Amino acid sequence: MIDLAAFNSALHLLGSSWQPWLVLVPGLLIGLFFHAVPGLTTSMAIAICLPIIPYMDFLSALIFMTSMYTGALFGVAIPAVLLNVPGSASAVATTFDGFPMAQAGRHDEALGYALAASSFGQFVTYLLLLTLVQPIAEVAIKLGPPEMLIVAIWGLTLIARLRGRHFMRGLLAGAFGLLLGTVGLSLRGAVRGTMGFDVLLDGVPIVPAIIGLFAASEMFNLVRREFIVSDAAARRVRGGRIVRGVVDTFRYPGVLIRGALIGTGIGVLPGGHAIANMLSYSEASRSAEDPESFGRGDPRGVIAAESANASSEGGSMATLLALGIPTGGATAVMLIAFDMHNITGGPQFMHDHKDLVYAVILSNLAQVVALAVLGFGFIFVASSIVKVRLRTIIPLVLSLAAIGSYALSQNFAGPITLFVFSVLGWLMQRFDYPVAATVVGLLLGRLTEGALLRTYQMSGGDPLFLLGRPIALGFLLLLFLSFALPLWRNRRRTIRPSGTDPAN
Amino acid sequence: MRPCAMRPCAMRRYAIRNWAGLLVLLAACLPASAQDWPRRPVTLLVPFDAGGSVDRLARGLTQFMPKALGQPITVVDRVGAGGQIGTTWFLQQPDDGYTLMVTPATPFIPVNILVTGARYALDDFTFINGQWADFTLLVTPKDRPFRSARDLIEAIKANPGKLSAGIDFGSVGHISTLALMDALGLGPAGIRLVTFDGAGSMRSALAGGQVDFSIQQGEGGETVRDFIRPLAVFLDHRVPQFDAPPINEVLQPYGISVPLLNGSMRTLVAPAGFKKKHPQDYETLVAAYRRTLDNPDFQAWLKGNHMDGQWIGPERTTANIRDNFEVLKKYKDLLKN
Amino acid sequence: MDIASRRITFDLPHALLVTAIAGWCLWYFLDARAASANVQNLVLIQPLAILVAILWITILRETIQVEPTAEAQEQRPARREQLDGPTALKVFGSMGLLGLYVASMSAIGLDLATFVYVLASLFLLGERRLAVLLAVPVVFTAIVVIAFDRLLATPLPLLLR
Repeated sequence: MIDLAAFNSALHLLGSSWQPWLVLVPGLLIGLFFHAVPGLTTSMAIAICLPIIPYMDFLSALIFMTSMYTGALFGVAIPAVLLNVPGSASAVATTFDGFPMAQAGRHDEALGYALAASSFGQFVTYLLLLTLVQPIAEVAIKLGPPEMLIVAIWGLTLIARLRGRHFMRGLLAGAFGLLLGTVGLSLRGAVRGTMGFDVLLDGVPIVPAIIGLFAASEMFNLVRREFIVSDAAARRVRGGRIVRGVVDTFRYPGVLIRGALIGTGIGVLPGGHAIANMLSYSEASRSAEDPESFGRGDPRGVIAAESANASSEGGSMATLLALGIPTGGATAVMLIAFDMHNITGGPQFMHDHKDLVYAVILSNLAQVVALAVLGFGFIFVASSIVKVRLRTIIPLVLSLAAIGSYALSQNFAGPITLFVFSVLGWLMQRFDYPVAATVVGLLLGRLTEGALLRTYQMSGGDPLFLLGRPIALGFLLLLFLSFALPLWRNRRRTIRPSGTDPAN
Repeated sequence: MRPCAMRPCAMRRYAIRNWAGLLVLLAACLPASAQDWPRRPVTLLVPFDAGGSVDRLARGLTQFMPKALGQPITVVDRVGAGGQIGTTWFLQQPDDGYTLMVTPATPFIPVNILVTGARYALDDFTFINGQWADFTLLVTPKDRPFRSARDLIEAIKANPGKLSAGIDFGSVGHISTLALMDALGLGPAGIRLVTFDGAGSMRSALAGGQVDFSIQQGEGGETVRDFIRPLAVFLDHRVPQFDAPPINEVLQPYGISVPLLNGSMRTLVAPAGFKKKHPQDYETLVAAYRRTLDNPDFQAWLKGNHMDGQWIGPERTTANIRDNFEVLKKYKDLLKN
Repeated sequence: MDIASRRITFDLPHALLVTAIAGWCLWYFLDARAASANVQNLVLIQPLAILVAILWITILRETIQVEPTAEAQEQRPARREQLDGPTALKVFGSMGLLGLYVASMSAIGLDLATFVYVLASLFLLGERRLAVLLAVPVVFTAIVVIAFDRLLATPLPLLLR
């Protein structure tokens, strides 16, 4: 599958000049930093870097952009584990087990697991890309709204898993989240639920809402404690524990590889990278022998979420590199590098410059190795936060989140959303409503409605339409099997993971 | 402070390149220093994403316009709801000329007003110049059997309500699709309209053959050109980029025609109050902008970036936007639902 | 409450919360319906609204317990932990401060609001060392303002320009 001539030429491209390598580490560090600090975002990182991109050659610019993303993919895990703050939608599932681990004094291990899973996931996906970039892209482009709808439903089934102690309350929390997710200007130009505020036309600001529901509400509960980690002895940052996390990650090869495959597979769908981590988490908890340990600081939860999150960009990278079509996430960012160098993507360009495609993929493999090293140092620094008293952390984190929410939307909708959802999240937790289900709904609302609507529109309302979509039928079968098999195996097993009460 | 004192280094580069450049620079700066405006940096609002076509145009202006204006320019992107969020914010700023906007004034401002309930009117803006206009294009995925626009129209007429068309709500392509169905006497029920969230995802769907056809922006077509077959252009003449006849030529045998709407017309916009309250400053702005367009370096930059730098002036720009507004008004009820 | 040896309990706070959530959902459905009653507009919202209505009634019924059986006892939440006075003050105080902070941002500028908020929160949460009470807000505000406003070119509404 590898075009050897182009591959050699790619090696030559990367080997003959030091310039592409020079941008790799700064890119990684920018990505790591901008996502490890709650409140900073990719778009801010891009805004800073835009002016220097024209001064790089095209390959360097692409490598710079992709290494920013490589760093970012792991960066989001750091606040997710240490503070229960998912920096973006793609780190939501990381908080489910990461934060309970941190509270138990296993923060170093948890970050070690996250780093290893993230590096491994990225490595696998780029290895797949190196050999299969063309076929992956060709399958990806054939996936349309009906396929997306089935994936969205698969994602929604996670709500049932996050239900906590009360099934009804879990469902209500999920439905509430889904409805919240569809607020704003609809795909058909209808204005819904904005209460006359123009800033809500684009929907409820997602990141402030998630941070409010998860992190800010949790901060209110933490006021009675002195430190995130109660055990004073466990508050030290120990390199050995990080290494142990890294090494132990590979004791769960099944979770790791499944995560990477789910990530790559779901990542090819437009918008898929935001939900890959949740699907992988859901599958890991469902297929585990002891699902009840998920949500209480099970390393497998962190590994499943992180390996899928890390590999979810590979799929969309395939469509960009092989076909020149961006499907979102990192690829939209890379397109800026294309534009700034007056290069129009497209299959022809990619076909003529296969060496460039290989060079980018190879550099990504190198970035993963660099990430493993840099990330280790980064954990060392970031982990020290557990030594800080909560009475200092709480105001600073909430303030950063509020300012970041402002900066994100450039208006007060962000901070207000943060506040409203922090109170709501606290109340919901207190009455045993799983906020994680609301977050899943919120994330999937727009996606689900869009896919459902387009499927309805394409089919003209005729269900037989699905018969003409073999991929959709295959997905449907998989979905059915993934539910029927465990039921058949063990009918009485119930699962209660949750970000609902990580305080316990 | 004299306006020339704060120059970005980019312009210093150009100035040093040759003496003639320096003289032009001085000529540009001296009259400006006698003006009241601008005394501080100017903000250029882009109500769309960083890195998008409008944003890149605006960033080009920040490189070249300070030379003529005597003050640096910064770009601010405020994204959301088809430009409505950024445009609303723009009108909330003081109309002292320190906040200007670059936006595809048509169709977005008319659509915001007519369809999505924006609380502003055309009269709130002073349209200075539609610098870069795009056209729309009727395309079909390559795996579909339609060889020409005529094939497609015959198929639509033979199977009313069966073919699907991808649209990005409120775009010119959407309105042109409705106009075409209207002209064919079929109405919106004549096809299955599939609403995508953004031109980008619609193009992916087109490339994947999810829909039967789509009317979309000409430029965007470049990225997926290997997957699509252009069938007709919404212009009164052919264009070199795409091998397709003008749409009304195709429709002539049917004895019908459709209005030819502008694609996105990227326009420099000031608040209406600026022209009214500070007519002299407004003239300064227009003159500085014209000098920027006359700058061969800027034109070369635009050309290199596949952008246009035409001067059609405030009157023609405004007239054009008003014409588009009237046509859109006609199809407003079809858009609303 | 005891009525003829039957115990009736009513969980009012929970009933209020579930009604607030369901109430918003149903209002949202009506609002969306008013915007457009087309099936394409309500393809997801209407089924969800119906589901919410059913769940609302079911959960409301749960909040009223008549003669709780053993099974119902198990269904009941592990009793919510009571907030003692000082904790309640910290919890609700933190919420209130965050609300005030967000509300005052535009009026007094993000820099001053941040300074005051961090200072007040530190104090509320038990910090009493004067040096910390002053140094942390000053340093934090300075870093945030410089980082966001200057380096990231994200214009913030500031008091000090």
